[in-house]
Amino acid sequence: MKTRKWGFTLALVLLAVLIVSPLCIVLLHSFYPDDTFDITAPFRTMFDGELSEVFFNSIQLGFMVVLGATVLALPMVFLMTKTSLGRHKWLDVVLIIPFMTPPYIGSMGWILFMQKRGFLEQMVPFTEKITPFFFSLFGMVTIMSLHLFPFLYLILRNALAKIGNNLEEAGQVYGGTFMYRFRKIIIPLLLSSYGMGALLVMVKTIAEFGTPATFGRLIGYHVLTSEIHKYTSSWPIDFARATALASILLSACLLFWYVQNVMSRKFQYQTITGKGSRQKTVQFKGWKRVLSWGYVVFLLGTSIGVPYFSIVVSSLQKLRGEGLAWGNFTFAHYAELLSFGSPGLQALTNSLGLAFIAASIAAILGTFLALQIGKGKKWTERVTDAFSLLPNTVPGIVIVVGLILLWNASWMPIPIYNTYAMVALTYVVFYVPYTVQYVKASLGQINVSLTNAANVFGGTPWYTFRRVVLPLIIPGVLAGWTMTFTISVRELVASLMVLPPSMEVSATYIFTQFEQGSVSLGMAMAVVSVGLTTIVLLVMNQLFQQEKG
Amino acid sequence: MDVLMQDVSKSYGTQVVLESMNMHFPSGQFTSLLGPSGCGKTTLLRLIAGLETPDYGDIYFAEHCMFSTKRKINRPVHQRKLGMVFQEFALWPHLTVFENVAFGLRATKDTKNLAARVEEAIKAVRLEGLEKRHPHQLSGGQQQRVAFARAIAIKPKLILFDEPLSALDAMLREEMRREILELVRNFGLTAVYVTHDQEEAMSMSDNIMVMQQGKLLQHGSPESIYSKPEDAFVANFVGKSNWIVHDMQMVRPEHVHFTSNHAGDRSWKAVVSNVSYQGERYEITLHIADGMTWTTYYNRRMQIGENVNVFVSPQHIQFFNHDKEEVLL
Repeated sequence: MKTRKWGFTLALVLLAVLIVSPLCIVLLHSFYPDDTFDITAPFRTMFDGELSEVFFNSIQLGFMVVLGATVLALPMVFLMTKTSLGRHKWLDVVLIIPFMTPPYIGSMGWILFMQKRGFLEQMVPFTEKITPFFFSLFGMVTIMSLHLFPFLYLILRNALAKIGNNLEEAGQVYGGTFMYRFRKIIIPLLLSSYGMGALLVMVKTIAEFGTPATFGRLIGYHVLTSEIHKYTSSWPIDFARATALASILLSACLLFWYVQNVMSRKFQYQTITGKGSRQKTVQFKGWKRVLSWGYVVFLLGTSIGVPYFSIVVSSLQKLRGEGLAWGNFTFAHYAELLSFGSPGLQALTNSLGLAFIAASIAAILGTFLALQIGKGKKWTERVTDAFSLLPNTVPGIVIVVGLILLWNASWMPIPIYNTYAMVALTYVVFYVPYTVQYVKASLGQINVSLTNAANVFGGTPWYTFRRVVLPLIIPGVLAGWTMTFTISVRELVASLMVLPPSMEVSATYIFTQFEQGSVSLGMAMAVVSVGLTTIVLLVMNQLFQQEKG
Repeated sequence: MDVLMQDVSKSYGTQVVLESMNMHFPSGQFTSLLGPSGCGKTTLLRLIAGLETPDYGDIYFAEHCMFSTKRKINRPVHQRKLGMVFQEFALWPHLTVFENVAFGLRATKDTKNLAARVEEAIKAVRLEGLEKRHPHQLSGGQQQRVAFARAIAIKPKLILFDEPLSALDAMLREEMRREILELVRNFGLTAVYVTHDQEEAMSMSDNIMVMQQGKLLQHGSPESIYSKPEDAFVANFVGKSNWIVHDMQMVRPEHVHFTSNHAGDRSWKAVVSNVSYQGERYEITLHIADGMTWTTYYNRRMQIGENVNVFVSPQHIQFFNHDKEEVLL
């Protein structure tokens, strides 16, 4: 009992320092623009400073991306649940790729593809009349929708799969026509899932930094995240405005999350009956079959094909001016990137090292927190749970601003700001929720009787933990580690803002090379970092499989 | 080893689960705790194991005090040295059969001749050759045996069973009943067996304790519980009961006859409402003239709707609620 209390105290202190205080500092800072407390200050700063446009841009972008993602996801959901296409399970895996692709890399791919003298014009010359239109809000919404639609797809597909055929068949038996059933059964049952998915897409869109920082900047479409970055990192630095925008972004995201939570509690129906539900599928023939496969090809082509084609080809081109031509291919950029002592290799090793450290710390911290949360029944457990998952809820850039304000404060006795440790700390704070969630899931699967049995057969609490609990949560810990490692290697916003001067990681390397260096080198780095992390994911996945077998 | 509980109480919040229980589980005997779900029998077992803490009372294993509110003693679970077989077996999925059985020895650092002792336990449950398997590679019956081997490997004096057969199908249950009994006898263990299945309790136990809503209703041999129930609830819960007066006068089916041998027999008019063939005999359901439904047995098929007379000899009638008994006689 005593160790339990100590555990909680430690967990709450860690969470307070690492996660809660940075966010509080952002809020406080925005309430004290000129040393007097004013809760309306962030709003006044925003509206006085002609920043309201930025806020509305963010919201407008959010709504349009929700619409875009819906349009892209719905046909796919229908095809995969209601037609024979659903047999192709690999599509579900492939459709996660766009979501796992770092948005800044995806945007760069699209820019390379659509720009003047880009790949599209080289392949289909007459498109030069159309391509300029892509560099608009429309293009930005397209890119972001293609990145986020898998999210909506998975949520809706699972919801529809759970509804199952028997509910629909019951409707049929009682005389409902197709449209009537769709209106009275499918829509109401699906609506709550759609609402949740849509709100999540909304939150992810307004919190997104990668696309606004690349594509958005190119077309002059400024949103909250890109403006916060501007005010904190380029002259004239203005923390008052940055924190005002960050507070508003934070409130908006928390509001959407709250609405989402309320919705899911109110409109979630129990559609799992415990019996496996059958899905009756339609076999498409003729033009319908062609049309459905055509849609799959279109979707995979635009969400995966275009960006990856552009990135890989760019990384292999001898001279970019020569365009797409046999004989214009070379591995020289990879050789240069990975040659000993090159800035590229330095950046890559920095990334891998930081990711390794961050993943290891996050795995330990996350496991500790998950163990404190346990069943989440007591209020202390629930508070720990909520705080641990906060970084998943809050936009990354807001956390970064808070971390900078906290660790760069004049009274801060621990001098890690502007060091390697600060970057690792930021990654840990960002990604600790992954481990917490995975370990919590593993813990949830351990029946109490297993630990009870261990106690009965003479295991002390520590012995029981070591021989029963720990081995059973290891898969969760490893999954958390892998996830943290993978996304840390690709992390852009934290890297841009807290890296010490003169230090680079793969993401910042890609970013700067794309903006003002060798695009080919940058893209070679993109291929290497995405490739490496994918390999790590696959290897770890394989290891789990063996463990289970 | 005798197990003694004195004045043990337990509540969850305002809900009283056990009310000042005084119980004695005699050494070397097989005692069943029988009752419907929610009667507190599993909680009682978990109190003995130390998995739950009583609000009040004393628990003794022989002369050793395990728990006492007065003396402020609470031996933690892992020091009580008992064997336990859990409801869903609770085998550790990541450990092999051998390691599951060896757990209790390793945990207490009692590793002298470990392999031989584990082998012995595995042999006792006839699982030789499966030592390297993981639990998910075993059938339900084999998993049950591993759970049992794990409990006897540590050579406990006391073994607790928490509805151990409820996860098995009917055929296997019969077989495992015999095996459990044999092993418990051979090892000379004191056994406490929780079940809601009266047939299981009757066929296995030396003693049965019938519980309801956190109270002990009756304690005795299976025979005395069946033939002399002290309470209407016990009469209903254990065996089939035919009520002459609702909750007050009862007769067991085997004492209801279609012919009368004695002059003093009481008789009733009845209509056959159902006949169910059971192999060695027929179970007959009767509607008695005053609205009760009875069960009895007969050696040939009867016609549904047949009008019959049934007879019961007065010495087989059980009376409950003693105040009224005087009045009626």
